[in-house]
Amino acid sequence: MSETRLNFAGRLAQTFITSKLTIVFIIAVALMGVVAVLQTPREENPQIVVPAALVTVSLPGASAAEVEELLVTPLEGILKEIPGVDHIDSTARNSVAAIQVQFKVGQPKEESLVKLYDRVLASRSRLPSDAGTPVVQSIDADDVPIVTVTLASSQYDDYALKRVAERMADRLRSTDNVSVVSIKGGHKREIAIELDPDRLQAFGVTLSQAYGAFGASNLSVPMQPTVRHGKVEAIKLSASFQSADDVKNQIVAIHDGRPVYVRDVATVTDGPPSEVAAFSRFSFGPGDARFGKDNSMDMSAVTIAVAKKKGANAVVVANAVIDRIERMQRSFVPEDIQVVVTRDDGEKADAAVNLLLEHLLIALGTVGLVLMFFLGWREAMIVMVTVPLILSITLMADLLGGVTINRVTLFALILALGLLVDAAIVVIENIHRHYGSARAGTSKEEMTVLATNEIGNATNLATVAVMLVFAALFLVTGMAGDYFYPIAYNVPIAMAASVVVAYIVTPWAANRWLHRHDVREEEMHAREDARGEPGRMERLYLRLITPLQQRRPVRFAFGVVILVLMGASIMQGAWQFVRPSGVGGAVSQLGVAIGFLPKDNKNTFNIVVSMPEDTPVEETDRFVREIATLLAQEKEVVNYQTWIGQAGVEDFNGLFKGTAGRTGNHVAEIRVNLTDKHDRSQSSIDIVREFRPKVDAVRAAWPGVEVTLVEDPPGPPLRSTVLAELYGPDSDGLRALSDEVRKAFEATFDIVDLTDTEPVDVIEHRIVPDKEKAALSLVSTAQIAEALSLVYGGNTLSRAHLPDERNPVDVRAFVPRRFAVDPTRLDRVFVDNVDGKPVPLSELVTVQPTSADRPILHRDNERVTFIGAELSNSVPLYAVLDLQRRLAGITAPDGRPLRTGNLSFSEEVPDTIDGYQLLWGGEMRMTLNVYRDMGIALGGALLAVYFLLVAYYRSFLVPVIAMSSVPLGIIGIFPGHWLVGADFSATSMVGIIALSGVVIRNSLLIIDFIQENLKHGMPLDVAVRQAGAVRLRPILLTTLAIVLGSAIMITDPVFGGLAISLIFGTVASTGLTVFVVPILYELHAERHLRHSAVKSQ
Amino acid sequence: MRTVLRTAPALIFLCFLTAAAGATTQEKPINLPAFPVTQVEMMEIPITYTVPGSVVSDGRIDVSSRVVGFIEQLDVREGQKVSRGDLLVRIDQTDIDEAVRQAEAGVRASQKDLDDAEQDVEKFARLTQSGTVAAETLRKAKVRVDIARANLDKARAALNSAEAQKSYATVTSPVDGVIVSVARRSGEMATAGSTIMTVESREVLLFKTFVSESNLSAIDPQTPVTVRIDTLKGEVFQGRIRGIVPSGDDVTRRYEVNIVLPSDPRLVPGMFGRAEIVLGKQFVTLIPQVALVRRGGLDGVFVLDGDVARFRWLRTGRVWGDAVEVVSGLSGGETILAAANDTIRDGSVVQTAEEAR
Repeated sequence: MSETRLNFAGRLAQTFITSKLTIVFIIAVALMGVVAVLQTPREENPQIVVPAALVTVSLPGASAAEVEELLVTPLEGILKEIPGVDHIDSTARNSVAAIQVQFKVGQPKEESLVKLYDRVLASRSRLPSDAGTPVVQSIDADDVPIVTVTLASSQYDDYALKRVAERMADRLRSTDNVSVVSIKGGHKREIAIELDPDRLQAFGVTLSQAYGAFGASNLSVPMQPTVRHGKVEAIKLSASFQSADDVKNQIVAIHDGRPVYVRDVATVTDGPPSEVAAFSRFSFGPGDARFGKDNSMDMSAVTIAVAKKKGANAVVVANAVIDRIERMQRSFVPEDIQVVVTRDDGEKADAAVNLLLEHLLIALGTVGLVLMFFLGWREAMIVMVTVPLILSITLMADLLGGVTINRVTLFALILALGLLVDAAIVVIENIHRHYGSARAGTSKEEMTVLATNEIGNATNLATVAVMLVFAALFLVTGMAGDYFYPIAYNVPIAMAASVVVAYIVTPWAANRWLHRHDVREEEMHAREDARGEPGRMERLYLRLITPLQQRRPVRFAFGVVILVLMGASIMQGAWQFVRPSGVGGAVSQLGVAIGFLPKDNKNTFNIVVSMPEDTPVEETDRFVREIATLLAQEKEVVNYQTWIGQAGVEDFNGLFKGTAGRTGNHVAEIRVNLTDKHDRSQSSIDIVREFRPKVDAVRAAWPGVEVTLVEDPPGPPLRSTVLAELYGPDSDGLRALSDEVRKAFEATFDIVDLTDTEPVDVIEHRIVPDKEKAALSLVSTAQIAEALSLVYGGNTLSRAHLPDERNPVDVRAFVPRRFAVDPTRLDRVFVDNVDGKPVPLSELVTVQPTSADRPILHRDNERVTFIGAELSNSVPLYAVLDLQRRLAGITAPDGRPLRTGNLSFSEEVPDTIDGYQLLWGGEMRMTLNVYRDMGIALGGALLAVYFLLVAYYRSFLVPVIAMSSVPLGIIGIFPGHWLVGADFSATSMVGIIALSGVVIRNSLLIIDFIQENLKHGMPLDVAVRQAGAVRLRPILLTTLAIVLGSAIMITDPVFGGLAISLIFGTVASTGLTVFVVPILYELHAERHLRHSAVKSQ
Repeated sequence: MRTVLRTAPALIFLCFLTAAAGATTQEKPINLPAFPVTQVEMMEIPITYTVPGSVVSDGRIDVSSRVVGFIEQLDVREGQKVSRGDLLVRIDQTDIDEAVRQAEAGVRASQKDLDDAEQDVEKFARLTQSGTVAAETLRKAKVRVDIARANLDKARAALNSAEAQKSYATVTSPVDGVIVSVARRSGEMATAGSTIMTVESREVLLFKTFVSESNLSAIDPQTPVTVRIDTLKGEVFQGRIRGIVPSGDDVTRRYEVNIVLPSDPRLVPGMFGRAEIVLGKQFVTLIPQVALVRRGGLDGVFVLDGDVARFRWLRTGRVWGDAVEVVSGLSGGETILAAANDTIRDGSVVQTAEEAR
């Protein structure tokens, strides 16, 4: 043994074969695995780090156009200077500018925000002097609540519920790793002074007097202490409002020598506001046992939302929070308040992870069965022991490398499973073979080490090739890069771990448990096969390959068939683009759609409602109630919570779609929770698809209403699936163009949930003071403004100092709706002039009806308007190309043709020098980016593998032959998708990358054997034939392991594509590789021989 | 309280109707309550300009003494009702009495003087005829008679004047009204022209208000004006515009408008009210106030969708008597429950009163 120079594999095997360290190693690795499984944070989907922040600057009184010029444009320029900024989206509204800065994916969060702060604050001098201080607010995915608990009741109103919720929230804050605990919905206590303008007028009290009276009398001032009787004693002026009665009895003026009290001119109430602008309701659906019982519908609701700290385990935090909620429910929450967990990302993550762990075990079991069948149970057991060890090492690497256990991580492990058993199989098989051909005088240990040593280099090569291929996924950029990161990280680590474990544990175990005589019988059998008394499978193989070797026409026909099959397969994907009926419309009978990431089966979806901007909140509520009525008939709906006048509790998706945090009379959301996906046969995708026409039927009666049924995407969130970004120099032009594009969208196949950002014009009563008249009446514009602000919306005058109140209670004065003042008739509103005489406002101002300032949107420094849409059943690629065909070159409002773009692999930036421009964004852009990156990754990986093989074979052509197995995979890929009925997606692309690694390995083994056979002096044709026949069985074994290991993934809506590509591609490729590669090698070798013959002549 | 108001009629109605329903029809479940319904309609409502103002008395009389003197008698008190002619104040008369006596004495003296002069004329006339006295003497005697007569007239006038002073010493009420204020007490000195007390007439009450300049042109003096008095639970009085004081305030841009109120014993000057001046007409959606219910902190009504009651959140506006204006939430034509109780929730199946019949 000592005479052989051992390689890496052999040295490892030799060190560990009898060592006690091996057992220690096994136990240590197993323990590591347990720790890793328990400790690694779990998530449903990998976290995508996109630092983003919102900068708001106010410029009181400025019109939208002014704000655009004075704030948005300069700030955008400044922010654009920051390196790492991806997109800047701004909105210029009346008096305020909001600029959202999105950094490139993967930029460090803190650093990016610091840079942003720096720039923004340094830019103060470039902004108008009356502009407010810029406020920078980070948009943080870590602040997205992981648990939401809704308190709902038909007995208590949301004011009472909020008070209970506040108590509960206080008790949650001390939970470990909890970050933001917020309460959404409900109303807070206030002391409302409902002013009666008529009574004010009668008492000669003006609004400004009333206003002034409060500020001056709600005071409590501690004074300097005094010393009396040798002791320091404190002094305090105490005149603050302690109750609503104090407010009522506040004197506002003196009229006719008699004091006028607040109660004389106003109604004072203490409690929730009487006029509600936003609220939330909760209802149980037919999927819950409480449905249909009394008081289970339309309950007032308040939601407690809990976020976790960055890096904390969602499962642990969520469980702790829910445990506390349950205990509080038992101890102090009244019985008739329903406490319902409406979001539990912890459980979601846990369920997803556990399901996948289960799948992993099933896959492991399947592979085990295959091995047992092919190798015998002892060998199978040894291989199966190595698998958990490899997984343990990989998970430990996850824990150390900060990768969470999530769906993608686990899919990576399942995917790796088929590959990582390979190393152990190869080792054990070789040991097996050596044991069979036992030579006298060699010890068992020596034999084992030699056997391991023998296959070491080839295995290393193949493993490095696979690692290279998967590591290429690191090249994927953007959000998709973050999404697929766990695959790029885990698979190479698992592969590396697999060889190490195979070299350490397998020889040790084989040495311990495999007996020489045990294997002899089988081995003899196998050797017989190799010697030319082949088994049935090998005989069939030989019968098929011989004519290919010997007869040119057969070979030619075979080649043609392969090319035709490849063409046909590619055509399945490409037909849609070239078919005579155009790219729009349904996918053809045999076609396979090319998408990005399919939707996932979820337990929830969100209905986002945008009414026209001039809709009162009551009308919004009416529409939402109509939708809610439909939801109450859906049998899979467990519960739903409607949010009127405000968006619901934000989620990761909403944060990036820009739907989170919206407020206003025209805004509504319905969060729908479905029965658990394991308990229903219908997927959420189908439920939403069937529900949508019902919503559309309701929507038909409400012109201008935009409803989007938002399903949480499995991957990166997007603004819209199909998104047209219209850039142009002029707002009115953009609006006209937007209408036109919208019409084109409406006429497109499968387009649903259309939205656009062009607002409806809201009538505005512009109150213009008559400066001269006001001056003659001795009234200032500021006084007019003050009076108007009280009449419209009211003013917070002061804060009451109530004992035992945990929230500030505002004293708010306003004119209630029953005394509402018509803006066209301001004769009931009075202002005090300098002499104290009341002057009716109608005499000082003129009221002009106009339309309100429309917000101006910018994206990346250009004016923009968006038109977005979802697709119910198809992929955006076709819809966009169809729209592109119809929209490219239409006449834009400036008379020039509309330029369209952003459909190439490199991202385009807006440019309006040549007029209006349409850039396609949304899923289309991400699809292009991801396919581009994956293409580059695949190309790079293949190139790297090629170089590796060139180095190994010292030939330029042999690696090409070895890699010819990759394109053969295509034959299986598209028909595979077609058979399963899935779209070709980004994960299918990952499948192709994985497939390349696997099939190259197959051909490497064949070529290795041919060369081995040639070395042993076999004639070329026999060597080729025999190599194919001998390698057939192990190749089929590997293929089977991969196919069966990945088969469990096919049912997954998202990663199904990966499995389909891998399985069908591997099967097709393997089936053909065993013929194509030997034949090509033979042709190459023949030519090579001829050349050398010619040369030698 | 409001809930009781809202539910009580409904409950009574409901008991009645369920009894009726149970008696007449068998298929209808007896325990299903029946509810009155109403149709939401658009109604024409006048656009009014409401101006607040106060009830004032048309006649407000400051009672003062013409004579100077100590107040001898003052028995009336604030708030006392007085009729025309009732004694209000008596001033101490001693000075006046003396003056009268003095004047009487003057009259008597003048009379004597006249008598003497007349006798002289008679005597000189006879003597002139006999030529014993010069004609010149007779002429002078006649002149003396004229002077004496004039003196008598003067003395009589002085007496009349002195006696007239006597009537000024007692002040009686010029109108039927109420004593509003009393400024002096008995024994105090009354100076001429200073107010002793104020009497307010109850004969005509006015509603005094200020109308802004921009609405002045919209006022037609012929149109009756509705006046609501807050303390009388908004009771409506039909008034008549008596006049617009044609001089506005150039600072506040308001003009005083006086509206004559009908006589009503409950109307008291100083009451606060609002005059509604009709400027035009408008269509609004109105619902009865009792139909409004509060669910989960929201005010709204139940709209019938078939026999299912659906809660509709409403934005209500101004109140018109028993009805309330709906600014948003109803489009008109809906059937709503005119009264609902707490058992009804969104989605409840209800039997309407019409069905029950």
